[in-house]
Amino acid sequence: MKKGFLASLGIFTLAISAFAASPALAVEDELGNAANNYQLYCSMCHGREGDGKGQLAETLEVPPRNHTDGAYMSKRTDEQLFKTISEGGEATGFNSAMPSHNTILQKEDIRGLVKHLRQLCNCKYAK
Amino acid sequence: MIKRGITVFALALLLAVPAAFAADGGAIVKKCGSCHKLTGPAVKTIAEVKARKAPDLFYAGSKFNKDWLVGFLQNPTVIRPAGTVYANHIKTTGDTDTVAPAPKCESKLSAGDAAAAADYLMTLKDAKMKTGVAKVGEFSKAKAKMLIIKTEACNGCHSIEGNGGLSCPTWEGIGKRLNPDWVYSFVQDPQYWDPKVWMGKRELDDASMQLIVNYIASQK
Repeated sequence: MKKGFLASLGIFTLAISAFAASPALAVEDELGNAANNYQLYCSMCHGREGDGKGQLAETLEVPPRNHTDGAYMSKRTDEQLFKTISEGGEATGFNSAMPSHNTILQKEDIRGLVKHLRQLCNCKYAK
Repeated sequence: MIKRGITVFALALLLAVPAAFAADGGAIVKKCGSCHKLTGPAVKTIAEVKARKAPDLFYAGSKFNKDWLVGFLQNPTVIRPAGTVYANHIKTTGDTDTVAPAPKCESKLSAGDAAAAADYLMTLKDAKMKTGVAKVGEFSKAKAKMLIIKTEACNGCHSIEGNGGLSCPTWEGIGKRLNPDWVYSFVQDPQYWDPKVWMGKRELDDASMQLIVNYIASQK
């Protein structure tokens, strides 16, 4: 009886561990965090939906990028997107109104945001 | 002899009564703890930031000017037009994002309580903040505005001279509100004060920092 209980407990623990380590769940978590980060750090300019129509868009001299624009976004590599988020607009030849985020966000957060951008544009880098 | 005794007793009573009725600033501020964080450190996760109801006060003595605090505590106004956490107050309406009006602090204190609370808040200081760094005096407003509006686009997030964004505190009356040394420190490294705040760190030399600090100090 006791052996049976221990065996059940072991199987239950293994199942929980396998579920927690599931790559699918990890990706979901990463994108969930990225969506939250996007709302907190990007939406004021780029818009809640990522369409560049944030509440601040009209106050800026250079319009914020529309992240749902697949035609444009597919011309940018993931590395370029990462660098712009991390080091700011000037680092990749864009406007300084886009600030750096490398003191606020961890590298994995920025990588998550790049993936989130790819979801918003529903596109990949196309040479 | 008896007369002298009565006089001494009356004097002692006169001195003791105001002390007995003096407001306890710490006790008043403690009530603010339902919305404001009164002890450090600052929160470090997005979930905690999103749950924030009001700005942190555990370094109020480094951040604010006491005279402004006394006035504000008697008649609070909205400083962050989109609320403490902008992302919690935006919604998409039609073609653009709009901001729901920010809730105002409803706690109005009497003049005496405000003075006592301000006294207490001014004791909440950050021991590491450098003082005497900001040099407030003559400055070129044109150069400052070029830096603030054109280069750094501070108006993207802050309302400056009546125009600009809503996601960060308004600069209306900011010169009365903030201690210039704290402004210098915060602009130089916002994440030192609030690790997840959405204002990015900027690489600015001292001359640029002084322009910003002076411009902010002039907004009264």
